[in-house]
Amino acid sequence: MRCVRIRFSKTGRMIYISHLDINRLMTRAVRRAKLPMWYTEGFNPHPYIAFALPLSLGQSSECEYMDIRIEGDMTNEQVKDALSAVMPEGVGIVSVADPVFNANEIASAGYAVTLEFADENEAESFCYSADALMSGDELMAEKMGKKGHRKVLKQVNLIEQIFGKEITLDGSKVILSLNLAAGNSVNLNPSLLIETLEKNIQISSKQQHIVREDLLTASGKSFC
Amino acid sequence: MIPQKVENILLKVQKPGRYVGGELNSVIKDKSKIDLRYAFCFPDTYEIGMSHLGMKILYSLVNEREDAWCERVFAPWVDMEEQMRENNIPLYALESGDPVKDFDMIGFTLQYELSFSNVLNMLDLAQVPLYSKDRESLTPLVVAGGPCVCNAEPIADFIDIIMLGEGEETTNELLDLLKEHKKKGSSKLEFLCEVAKIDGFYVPSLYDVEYNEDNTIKSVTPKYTAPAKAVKRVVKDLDKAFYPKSFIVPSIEIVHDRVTAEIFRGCIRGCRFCQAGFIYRPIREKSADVVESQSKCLCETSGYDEISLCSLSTSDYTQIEPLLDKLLSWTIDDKINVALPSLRVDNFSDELMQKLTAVRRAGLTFAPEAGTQRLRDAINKNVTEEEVMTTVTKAFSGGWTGVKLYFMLGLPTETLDDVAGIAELGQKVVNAFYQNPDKPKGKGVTVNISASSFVPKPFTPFQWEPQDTMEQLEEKQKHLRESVTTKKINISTHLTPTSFLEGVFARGDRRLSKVMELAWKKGCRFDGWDDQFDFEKWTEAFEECGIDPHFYANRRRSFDEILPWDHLDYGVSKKFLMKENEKAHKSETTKNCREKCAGCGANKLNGGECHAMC
Repeated sequence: MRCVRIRFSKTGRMIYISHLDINRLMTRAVRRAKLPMWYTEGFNPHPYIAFALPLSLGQSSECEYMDIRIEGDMTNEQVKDALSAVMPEGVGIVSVADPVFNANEIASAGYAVTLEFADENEAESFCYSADALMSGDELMAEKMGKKGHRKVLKQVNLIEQIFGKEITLDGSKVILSLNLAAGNSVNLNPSLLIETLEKNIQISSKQQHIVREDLLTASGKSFC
Repeated sequence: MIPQKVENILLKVQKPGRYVGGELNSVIKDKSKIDLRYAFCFPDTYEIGMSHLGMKILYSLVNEREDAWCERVFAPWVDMEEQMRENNIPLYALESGDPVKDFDMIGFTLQYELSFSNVLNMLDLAQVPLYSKDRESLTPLVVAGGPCVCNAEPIADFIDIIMLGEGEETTNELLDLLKEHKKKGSSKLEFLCEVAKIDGFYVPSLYDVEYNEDNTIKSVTPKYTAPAKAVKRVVKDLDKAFYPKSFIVPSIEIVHDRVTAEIFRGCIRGCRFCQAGFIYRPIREKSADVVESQSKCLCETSGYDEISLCSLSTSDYTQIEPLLDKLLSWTIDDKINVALPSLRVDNFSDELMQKLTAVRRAGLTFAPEAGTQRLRDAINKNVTEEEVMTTVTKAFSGGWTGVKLYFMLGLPTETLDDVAGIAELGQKVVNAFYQNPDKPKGKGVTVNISASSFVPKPFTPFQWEPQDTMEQLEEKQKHLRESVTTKKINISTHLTPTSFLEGVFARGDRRLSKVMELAWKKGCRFDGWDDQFDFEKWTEAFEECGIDPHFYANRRRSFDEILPWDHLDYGVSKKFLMKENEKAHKSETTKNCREKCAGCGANKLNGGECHAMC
């Protein structure tokens, strides 16, 4: 039995499929691909499939990671070919490799965000104000957090979770390149950041397109 | 592809995955090479519609044709509907994203009466006129099929053509004919007159209905080419009948997320309350080899890890054990679970039980339907208390710690003693668990009793019976709860207004169309969903139309009354149903079709053949 790390993209119509449904979708895909899956040995045997970091519904991604355990001597290249042949539209197998990092080493994620505004004026004032807000010391937002088992609303300073930002204006569009805290302990969803910016600036975008481009470790290496 | 306008609203609604299409095995065609576009509509949510076997069969069947493209349409949930109306987005089909109004044929499958209001809502969302008479051109043609069309009268004014019975042959015949007449430039009436000549089609607009002073039907008169009786169609040989090689695999979770393997049609039992048991006759079995190879193919193309056998009564399939042997020979290795729903208590063998637990243990559900032997005899549910006890004991010895028991309240001839009998039977099952030396160690038992409300349906021996009023049903529900003395038994019941409305539409006539239109205008839709059902609006609609719903639900009909569905022929003869009704009132049973043919008459649809007799 060995562990294989599969990097896949989630684009197009697939962005409307939740993380839980992607899990189910992949369980069926490995069956169709006839991968020699290793099964857990419990009362209810099931194939071992684990995902690195869930993606919010509505966001695209170039860097989703799924670990599976297989038996036999199938090569990574063969796994890639077998899986690619059975994927539905919107899920692309980017690479198949032996895992290097542990999923809990993920520290941040890179996002490309495109916001479309009603007109150029709105875009311009949003761009200017958002840059100023993200360059400040404090940008507070309410976030659901856990206190023991209870869910509680807590105040979070988002600035502490923004590791990198670039903001550019393109007509009625604003393009953000963000590096945000990611992982199991601290995670900043770009949707929350945009929502907070919009609330503070009091200008809302008409459309947003969010792409997760890369997952990074604390030392800045690409997760793989 | 989905239109940009739709993309813009998707993140504002729950479960946007319902509205985007693009699932594995969905069929995309080049529309420039297509003569006929068919929008197959299921008037409920995506998760429910995608679970429906009939749709999977007909979708694949039509898409095998090079000249036609069948696409899927579901009822948008209320949040999506609001967004669609606000942004002027017409109802679209999932494969192409094209508006449904541009299709040649719009077909609805009617699986339950409470989805009727969704049909109107979907037509309206599609921007297609509701009434058949207001759609003057040949296309889009609005057709309907499914079990509810055995009395299509309440929606007859909205539908151009009703397809009676099984659709594998009639769908293609209808498409062929439509293609020909589209090319010829025929008028809608010319086309309808041609269709009405063929068995399996009922064209409501070609029948005039007159009423008596007491609101009963005086006469139903066919016009032009329409026959006096429109006859249901069946597929003769299930082994040769079309079955899909792949199912669309939804990306979001649906209700029945598995491979469905149909094993036979019809039922040998003749339970007098059960519409399916009569309208799907005669019995036709599929051979075990065919079921097995079809299941294997579907597992491979879908990646599903469960196969569910599908029929009205799984354990009545004559080849059940050979089939399970064949299936288990590879499903165990492939970690595929085989589910056997619809088991009977009287032929649930040890072997069957062992095979059931081969991969994963699913829940066990049995349906005694009534609490006392007298009432079980009256409804012809030929199951004895002893059989129930033997079976649950077997199940408990086999490691199960819970069973689900289905019952009905409001059955004809039922008394409060029969109701209390349900609780008593439940108690005996609980006792059987504790008295069983082989019971699972250190565990308690749960008996879930589901007591639904009986709704008399057309083409059953109870089609003349009054439905219990809502008050009577509530009293019986209360009595049942009070009769239970242990916490090991959980009781669940249905909302009585829902069953009442179902009862009205099940045996309604054409005058209900205006009530339906009014209720829909008031906002009624998704009536089968307790959180959406608004009985007050329905009551208002009945009052404003001057129609008494109790006339349809709670009135006893005489044998000589003309029933709204008498001009449809489902094979089973009215005389047979009358005889069965009389026997019910004497609590006399009828043997199952395999023991002795009861002469229902349905085999005439299949050239005299019925698999129960061979």
